[in-house]
Amino acid sequence: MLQDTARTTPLADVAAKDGPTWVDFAGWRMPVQFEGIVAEHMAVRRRAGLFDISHMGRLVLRGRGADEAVEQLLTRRTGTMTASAIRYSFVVDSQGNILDDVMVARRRDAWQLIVNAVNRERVVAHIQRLGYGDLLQDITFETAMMAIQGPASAALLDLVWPEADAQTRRRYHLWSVPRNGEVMCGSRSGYTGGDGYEIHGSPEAVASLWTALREAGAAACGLGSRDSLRNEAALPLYGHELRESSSPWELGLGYSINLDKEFVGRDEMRRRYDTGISRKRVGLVLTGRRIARENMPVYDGDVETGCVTSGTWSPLREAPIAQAMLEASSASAGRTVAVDVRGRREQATVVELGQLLPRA
Amino acid sequence: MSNPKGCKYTESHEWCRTEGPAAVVGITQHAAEQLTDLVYIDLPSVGDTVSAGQPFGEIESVKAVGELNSPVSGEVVEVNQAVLDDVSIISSDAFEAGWLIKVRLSNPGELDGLMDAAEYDKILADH
Repeated sequence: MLQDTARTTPLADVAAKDGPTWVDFAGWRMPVQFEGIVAEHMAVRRRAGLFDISHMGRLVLRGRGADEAVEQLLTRRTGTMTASAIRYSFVVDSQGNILDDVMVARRRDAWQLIVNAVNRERVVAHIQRLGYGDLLQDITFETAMMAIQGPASAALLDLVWPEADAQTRRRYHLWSVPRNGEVMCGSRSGYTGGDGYEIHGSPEAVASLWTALREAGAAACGLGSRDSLRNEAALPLYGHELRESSSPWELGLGYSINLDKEFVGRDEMRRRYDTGISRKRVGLVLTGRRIARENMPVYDGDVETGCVTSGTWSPLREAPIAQAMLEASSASAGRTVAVDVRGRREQATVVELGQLLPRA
Repeated sequence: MSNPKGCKYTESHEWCRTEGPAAVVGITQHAAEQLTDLVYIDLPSVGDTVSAGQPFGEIESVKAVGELNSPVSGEVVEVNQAVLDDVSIISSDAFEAGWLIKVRLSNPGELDGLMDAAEYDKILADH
């Protein structure tokens, strides 16, 4: 994981001005925190925070046959997507292994996939193996991507980039708008469970936007708060909640698989669907203060009923929270379970995924 | 940040300071800053025995869990209840209000094996 050859993103220089600590993640050197995870988390919940997400893979498919290629590549029906629409979907290989979860956008002349940094290379290899390599352009290294997240995001964006007209944008639609003469792509979307925008474009244009938004008062945020925020919003992360062999239905993500259309890996996905749901992804809120972390076993009485897939501290609840995969019999909301935290049981209450984030 | 001259230090970033027959033990400001966002601390009880170089508790932040290693050996004679109630005291005042335990020294000679402030400063500088 840690390697000397980690790439820096085009936003590293502007991020460095706020003196973050850095971490190597998926081959990239990324800010892990600036002021602190809790402070950044609260900045996003109360106002607005900026994230460098240039490490996310940006793939474009265009040309004759691109529509069919994307339909084969993704588990969601893409043919019915209107221009500018964005959807969440999976990429599955021909053996039925889930290779990644992605955001797909339909642009006027092309398809755009935003893929996880850890999976970019194998998604690209998968696309090439299927014979779609000629349609594919990987623009990850030549572009930058950032997110602004939090309730003040729209107002701050409108302040420094009036052409974006952020306030009026619908969620999950892609737009291309110039700023200082340079076009960037944006969408009202994100990975925090709140309002926000994700923007990509040339390194210079995105870095300039970052600087303008920092000067306008948005906080600089790192991967640490990105993780605590997505956990609080019960959003899955590939390699933690979601794995090659996962059942999307057990994860509560079955809506992003359409078994009525053809796609690579459909037979195996149908088999997982037919197997039914024996486990479920749930939220846990712990009673104590010790944090339940990934892979810690969860007990229902004396019986091991599953394990934690991600855990963190929820600054909003001022308590540890976690996502966990539990046997369906233990997964009902309100049930009391216990997490084995380094040999000591910590009491936890099962909550529905949508209830992990307390409503204001 | 300066590391007080009157303290002795471990490589795992604990400090101790003698108070008569006992030593006050804590973690350094550097350690607290590395952990950041402290949420929990587990300390021994009065009457427990701790051993130099051995874990006597754990400290947890949003980011990570760390073991607390005792700089000295002896019996725990006092535990800082304020820190158990509000672990963030350690971040704001690691060397005074954020002390952790007081240990009646069973082997005061162990203090000679610990670093002084200058040596500990050097370790942080080389870090």
